[in-house]
Amino acid sequence: MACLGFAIAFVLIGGRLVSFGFAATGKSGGGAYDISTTIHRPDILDRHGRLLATDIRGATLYADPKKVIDCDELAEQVASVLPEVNVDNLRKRLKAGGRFVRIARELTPTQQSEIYELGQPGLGFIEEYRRVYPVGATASHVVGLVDVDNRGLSGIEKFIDENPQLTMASPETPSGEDTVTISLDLGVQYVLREELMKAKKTFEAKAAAGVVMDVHSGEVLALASLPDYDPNHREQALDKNRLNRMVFGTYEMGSVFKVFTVAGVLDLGLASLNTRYDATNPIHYGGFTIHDFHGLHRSLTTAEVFIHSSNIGAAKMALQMGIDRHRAFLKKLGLLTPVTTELGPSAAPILPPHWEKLNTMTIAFGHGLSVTPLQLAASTLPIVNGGIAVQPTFLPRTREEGMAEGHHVLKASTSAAMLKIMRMNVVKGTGRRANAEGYRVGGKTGTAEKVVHGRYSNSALLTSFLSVFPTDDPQYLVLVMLDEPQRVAATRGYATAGWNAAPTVGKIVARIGPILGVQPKLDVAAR
Amino acid sequence: MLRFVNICLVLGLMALAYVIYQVKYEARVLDEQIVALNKHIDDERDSIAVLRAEWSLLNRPERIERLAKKYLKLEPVRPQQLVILDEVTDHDFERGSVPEASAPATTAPVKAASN
Repeated sequence: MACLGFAIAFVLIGGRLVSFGFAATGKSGGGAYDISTTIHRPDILDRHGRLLATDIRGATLYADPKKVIDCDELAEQVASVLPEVNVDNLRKRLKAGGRFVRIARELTPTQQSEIYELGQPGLGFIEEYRRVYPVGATASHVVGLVDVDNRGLSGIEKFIDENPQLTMASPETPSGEDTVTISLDLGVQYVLREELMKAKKTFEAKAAAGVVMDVHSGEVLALASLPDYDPNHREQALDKNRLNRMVFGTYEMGSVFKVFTVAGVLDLGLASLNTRYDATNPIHYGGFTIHDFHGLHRSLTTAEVFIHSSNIGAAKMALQMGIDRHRAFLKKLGLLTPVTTELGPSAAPILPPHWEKLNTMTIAFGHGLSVTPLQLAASTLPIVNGGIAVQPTFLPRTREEGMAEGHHVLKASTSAAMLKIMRMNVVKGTGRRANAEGYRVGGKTGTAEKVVHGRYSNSALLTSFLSVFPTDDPQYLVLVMLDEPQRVAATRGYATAGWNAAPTVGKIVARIGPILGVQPKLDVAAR
Repeated sequence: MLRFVNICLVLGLMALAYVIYQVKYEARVLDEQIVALNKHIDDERDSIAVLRAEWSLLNRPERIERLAKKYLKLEPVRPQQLVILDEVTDHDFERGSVPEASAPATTAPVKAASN
């Protein structure tokens, strides 16, 4: 009996010893080097693998009030190294007690060693990840930014947090960083932003915005909205004036809407390019008068209405379609509902409360319906790519995928006719200054009067140019918008789109054409 | 006899205890090495991240463009400088230039400085 008792006791003790042995190994073997309290985010790369955002490690200084000997001295000494620290505030927080008081984030190694040299007990460092954007403001409105805890606040950064499945180990880097690749092309993005900055300065505009899209895949290759912000200084992003106008600003876009009006009558089979519309006299309706800016006072063909940007002609086309068909057509192109991308839903378009005959007439030339510029660009895709509505995206997608996921909304013949008159408009119409030698640009100008104090003002303009190139094999769409460009000497006192937005597009296309590998053709330049 | 067996067992036990102690000690040293190496790997990873950030900071298009303007005698490619191979005749080959291309920049390969 006693023997059995001893045996059991020995087995128990032995078993316990073995378990101690395993536990000890497990503990030290686990040795995970946990350095971080913040989230480690994946790197963001552009379509060619260029780095747009990455994480680097930085030290955060904290104090443990239980170990601090003299709060006042410590606060003053810390402030001598880190001038941004508020002494009174820190002293108060230290005296309040507890075990953890965060003093400063994102310390440089020099500051860190200076803190060490203070020799104060109770101070310590934890290491945290910090987001850096090497290209600065260049892609800020697309990439977005993060908060102090490294959580995505806006743009692709926010989208990544909501969709962690996007992250994958990069095959290109040996250490296998987690990365997310987006559709942006840094080269194109840089050119777009730089030309917009130049245009904003030259024409003394309040704001400028632009987008470059692939017409088949729906990928956004570049998107800029000025003024923008440097995501490395996140406080700048709070400024309302720096919002992303492409996605979150709604505007009455003006004559670029004639693209949709003309496409409408062509697609519904109501007119051909040679159908004539009488634009001899202004239209008077319900106390309003519709004039032509470039008045020709004669009957115009469909193509002429487009290239001379006749408001009267466009209004007559819309009336020919009728309110319901006009509205249905705009709806089919997606102009009446917000467009959803990885940046979130765009601002909702502002529709007239009661869509009547006058609304249809004014919307025909882009007044009375406010849309976001990105929505305008997205709705133009089917008009220039053979009739297929493609969802715009900021993630890489091939042209075949884009075409396969889209759906037919227009006849291919409508698209072909629209490309023809868009090219004509650049060769001999209002968009002449948008021509980029060899790249066969086609497009439409838009000059809208902004509403100032409840009425349309002829001095506060919103000009835009909606274009596609090359028109004989459409590949890319470029939209540029300038908010309140002034009548400057360089434009001989004009402030309309043909003088500011159009030449900006011309310059952009001439620079991005070679980057995107579009073959220039000089012999068809005059086609 | 029993005494001999007991002595053998005690000696065996001591030998085993020594070996186990030795193995455990080595394991502990190796564990410490693993921790140190993991930390080292993390540090290296972080410096790679910093270097990559620095690399792309130095490769910003605006900086490359500024440097290209300063040090290279290149200019953005003009459409006239690009021709399709099928359009080049044998005669053009012999002359060493193509009619569309204008005089100055036909010899040097010109790259778009903006990219």
